[in-house]
Amino acid sequence: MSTPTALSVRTRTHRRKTILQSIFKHFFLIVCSVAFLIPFIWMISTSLKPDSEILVWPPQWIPHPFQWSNYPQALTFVPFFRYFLNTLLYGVSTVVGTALSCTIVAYGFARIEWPERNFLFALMLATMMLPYQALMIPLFLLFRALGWTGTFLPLIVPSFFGNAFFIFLLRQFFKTIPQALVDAARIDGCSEFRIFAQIILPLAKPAIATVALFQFINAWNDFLGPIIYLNSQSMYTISLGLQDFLGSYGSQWGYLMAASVTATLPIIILFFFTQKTFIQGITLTGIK
Amino acid sequence: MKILSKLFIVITSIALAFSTTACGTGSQKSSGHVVQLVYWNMWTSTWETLVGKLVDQFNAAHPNIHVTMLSVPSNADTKLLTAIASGDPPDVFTEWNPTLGEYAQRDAILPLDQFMVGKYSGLKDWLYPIVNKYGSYNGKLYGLGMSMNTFMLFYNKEMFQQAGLDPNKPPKTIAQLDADQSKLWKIDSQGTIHRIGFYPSWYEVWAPTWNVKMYQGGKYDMNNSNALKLMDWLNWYGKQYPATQVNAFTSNFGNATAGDPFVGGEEAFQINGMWELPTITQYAPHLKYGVTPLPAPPGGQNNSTWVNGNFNIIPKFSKHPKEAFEFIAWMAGYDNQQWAAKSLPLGGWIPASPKIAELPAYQQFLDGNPYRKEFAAIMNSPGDDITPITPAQQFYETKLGDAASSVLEQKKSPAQALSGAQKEVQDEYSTDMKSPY
Amino acid sequence: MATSNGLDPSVAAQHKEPSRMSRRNRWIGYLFIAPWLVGFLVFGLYPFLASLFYSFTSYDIFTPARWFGLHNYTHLFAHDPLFWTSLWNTLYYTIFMVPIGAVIGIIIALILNMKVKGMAGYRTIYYLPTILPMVASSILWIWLFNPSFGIINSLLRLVHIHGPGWLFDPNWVKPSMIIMSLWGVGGTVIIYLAGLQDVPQELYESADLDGAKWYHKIRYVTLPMISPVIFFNVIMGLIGSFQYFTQAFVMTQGGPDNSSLFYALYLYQQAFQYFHMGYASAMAWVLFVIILLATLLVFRTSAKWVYYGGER
Repeated sequence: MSTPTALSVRTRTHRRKTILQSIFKHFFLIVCSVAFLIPFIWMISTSLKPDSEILVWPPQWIPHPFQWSNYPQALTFVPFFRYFLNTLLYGVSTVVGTALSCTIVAYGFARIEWPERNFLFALMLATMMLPYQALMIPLFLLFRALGWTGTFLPLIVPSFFGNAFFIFLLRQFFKTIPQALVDAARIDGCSEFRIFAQIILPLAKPAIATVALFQFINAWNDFLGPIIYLNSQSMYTISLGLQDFLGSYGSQWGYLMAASVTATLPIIILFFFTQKTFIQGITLTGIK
Repeated sequence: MKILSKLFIVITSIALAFSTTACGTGSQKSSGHVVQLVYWNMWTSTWETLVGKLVDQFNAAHPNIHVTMLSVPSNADTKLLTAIASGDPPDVFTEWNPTLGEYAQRDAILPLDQFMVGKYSGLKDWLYPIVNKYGSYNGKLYGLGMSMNTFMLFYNKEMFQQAGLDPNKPPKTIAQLDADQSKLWKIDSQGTIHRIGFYPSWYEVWAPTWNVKMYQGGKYDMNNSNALKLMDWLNWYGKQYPATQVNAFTSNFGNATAGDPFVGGEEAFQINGMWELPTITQYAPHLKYGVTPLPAPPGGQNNSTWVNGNFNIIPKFSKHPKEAFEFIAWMAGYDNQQWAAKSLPLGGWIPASPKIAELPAYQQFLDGNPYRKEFAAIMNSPGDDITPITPAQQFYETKLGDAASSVLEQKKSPAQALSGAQKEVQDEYSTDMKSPY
Repeated sequence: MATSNGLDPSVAAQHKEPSRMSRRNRWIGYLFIAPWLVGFLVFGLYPFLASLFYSFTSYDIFTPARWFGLHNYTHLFAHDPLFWTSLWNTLYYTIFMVPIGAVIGIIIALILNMKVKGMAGYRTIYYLPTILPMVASSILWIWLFNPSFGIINSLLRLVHIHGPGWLFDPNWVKPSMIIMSLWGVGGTVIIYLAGLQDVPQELYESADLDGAKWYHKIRYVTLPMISPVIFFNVIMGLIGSFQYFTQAFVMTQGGPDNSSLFYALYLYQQAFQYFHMGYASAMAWVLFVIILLATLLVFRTSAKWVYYGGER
C-alpha cells in the first residue's frame, strides 16, 4: 500500500487527469456535433424564412424576420395530419411485424443447429444482393395478382415475414449470448420457445430496440414503396407529402423545410427519450 | 402479460390498416351511370391546386363522368409503367417528359384517332400544327396537348445600358448576340464568375432557329452540317468561358434548386418561357427587361422557337377510353373554348389551339403584359420545331445533352461529340424499332 | 451440470440417438425460421426467378419477353463502355466507404459510450442525419456543396483554400457523396452502441487489474467482443454500397460526365428510361454475382477475426 502522501498526490494528479480528459472529451464531442448539426441548423433557419431570402449571398443564418407562419401554412397546405396518421400506421404496424418475425427467425439461425441451416442463412443474405430495381416489376405484378395494389398491404404484410437485414443483425446479437445459458436451459427441459422468449429476448433488448427504431424510421422515410403502391391522395405518407413542395417551376423551400422539421421532430423526441433501452447495462454475470 | 399487450397492438394495427385500405382502391369501378375516371399527373404545390380546380370544373359540367385526380410527386413515369404493365393503369396521364415515341411504339398508350369522330372529327385541324406534330407518332395522334410552351430570349435592359448598349435594340442575329453578351460578363481576377452574359448550355432549344433537323427519313442524322454549325457555336463559348466555373455558378440557381438567375441579376440573357413573366413581376418588379425571339444565324429561321408542353395520354387497358378522351379534349379546350380562354391564363399557359388564343378572354390575358402576345404569336411560326418523336427520344436527349456538355467542357470537338452521339442514338433507335419484340 | 444419467451434456448429445436429435432440431429449426421461409417462397422466389429469366430475354415491359440467350450479357461486357464506367464508380465508392465508414462508426460509438454528461443529447445529434427525410437532406447538401456560395467552400476560403467544384467537378463528385454518406453514419453507430452494451464489465475490470491502458482495452477486449457487430456492419456496408442509388438519382442523375453514374443508377435508367428491362435484369444478376463473391470473401476471413462470445 502506498503512503498517505503518495496516495493523495496520485489522487490529485488522477483527478486532474480526469478533468482534463473530461474537457477533452467534451471539446471533441462539441466540435464533431457542430459538423453534424450544421445541415440541420440550416434546415431550421430556412424553415423560418420567406422564400425570397433563402438563396441569397452571403447566406443568412439568422432569419430576418422570423417567419413562423411557414409552419402553420406548410402544415395546412398539404393534409399533413392525415399524412402523419398514415405514416404512423405504416410505421407502427411494420415495427410490430418486424419485431415479431425477425426475432423468431434470428433465433432459429443463431441458436439451433440443423444441416440446412447455413445454406438457408446464405440464401437469406443472398436475397439482399439483387438490386431492387430489377425486382420492382415482377413484385408489382405479384401484388397486383393478389389484388393488393392501391392499399397498404404490400408495404405492411411483408414485414411480418422477416427482413433479411434485421434478421442478420439479431442473429449476430443472439450469437453473443453464451451457449452455456442455452445449454443449461435445455438440460432443465425448457422448450426452445421458452428459451427464446424468456432467456434470449430479455438479454437482447438493446438489439431489438435498435431494430424497432430502424424499422420505424425506414417506414417514416420510405418513399418508393408508397409512391408505387398507393393510389389515392388520402393514403399518402409524409415522405410523399414533402415532395409536394417541390415543383418543376420553382419550389416552396420554406414550407418544405418547415414540414421536414415537423416530420423529423417526433422521431427525435422518440429517440431522445428511449435512449435507455439502447444503452442499458447488461450483466452477464450470475448465470446460476 | 407483455405478450398480450403486444398482441393487442398487433390486432389494432392490422385492423387500422385494413380500415384504411378499405377506403382506397386501385381500380375504380363505375357505380350506377357515373363513369369513374382515374387521372394521374405530376403537378405539385400550387400547380396541383390549380389543376385540381380545373378537374372540379369538369366534374361539375359532366354529371355522368367523375374524374379523381392523383398527384404523383416523383417517379411518376415508373409508377405509370408498373401500372400499365400490371394491366391496371389510370385512364388519363399528363406527361411532359419526352416519352411519347417510346410509349406509342410499344403500344403502351392508345392512338386517339379512333375517338376523333362525330363532334371531335375536327380536332386535329383545330390544333396548332406544331401541337399536332408534338403529339403524333407514325401518323397517328397519341398525345393531346393541353398547355404549351414557347421560348424566347430575355435580356436585362439595365445591364445593357451600363455596358453602353442600346436597351431597345436587342440582338437579332447570332453575331450580334455574341458581340453584345461579351460586354456583359463579370469575372473577377481569380476567375470566379459573378455574372454571365450569355451561355448556350441548352443545345436543343436552338435547333429550330439554326434549321437543324436531327431526324430525317426514318433515321437519325445528328452530325449534319447545320448540327455541326450549331455545335461549333457552342464550342466558341466553351473556349472562352471555362465550363466548371460556369456550371458552379449556374448550379445554384437552376430549376432543380430554384431561385432565378435572371431575376437575381446573375445573367444578362436567359432563354425562358412565358411563365418567367409572372416570376419577374413577383420577385423583381422593378427589373427593366425585354424579350426578343431567339436570334438566328445567317440562313436560319428568324422568329421561330422550340416547342414543348404538357400532353395528355390514355394508357392501354384504360377501362373507359371514350370518356377519358372526352376529358382530355375538354382539358385542351376543344368544345369549351371560352372556359379554356379563361382558365389557361391561370397557369400562364399557351393553348393547344389558335382558336382559343384568339378569344377575347385570352387576349385580355395577353394584354396584361406587353410580351405575352409575342410568346403566343410565335406558336404559329412556320419555323417552329420539336424534339423528334421516336422510341429513342429520351436516349437521344440524354446523349445530345452529353455531347453538348463535352463540347462546352472542351473535352471533345463538335465533330467527335456529334458523330459519337449519332452512332449511339442510331443504334439504340434501330434496336427500339424492332419492338414489339 | 449433469444429465439424468450423470454424463456431460455435450457428450451425451453426441452419443445418445443423434438422428432423433437432429430430426428434432431440424423440425424446430424450420419452425423458427418459418416466417422468413414462407415470406421468401411467396414474395421472394417469383420476383427473383422472373428477373433471372428476363435477363436472358429482350423485354420492354409492355410486350411479352422474347428469348435472347446470352445476348444481354455479351453486350454488357463487350459493347457497353458505360457498364465499366458505372462499375468503376460503384467500386470506388465501396472501397472508400466501407472501411472509412466502419472506422469512423466505431470511433464515434466508443466515444458516445463513455459516461459523459449530456450523452443522450450528443447521441441524438449524431443520429439526426439518418432521420432526416431524403428530400430535405439532398437539397441541404446541394446548397452546402455549392462551389461558389455554399458553406463548405466559404469556410475553406476563410483558411485560404480554394475549394473544389464538389458536385460539379467529375473528380470530386464521388468524394462528395462519400462525405454525405459518412454524415449518415449514425445508423451504424447505434448498432455498435448496442453491441458495446453486451461487453461484460468483468472483462474490463480484469484488464484493469492487469494494468491495461485504454488502447489495450479497446484492442483486446472491446473490438473482439463487438466483432460480430463489426462483421455485420461490414457485410451490410458492402451489400449496400454496391447498390448505392438514391443520392445519385436525386442530386446528380449520373453527372457530370457520368462520373457519378453508379451501377444501380445505370441499371435504373436502362430499365425505366430506355425500357431495356431484359438488359437491366442481366445487369442486376452480374451485380449479384459480384456482391456474392465479395461477401464470401469477407465471410472466409471472418473466422480469423470474428469472435462470438456466446460460443467458442
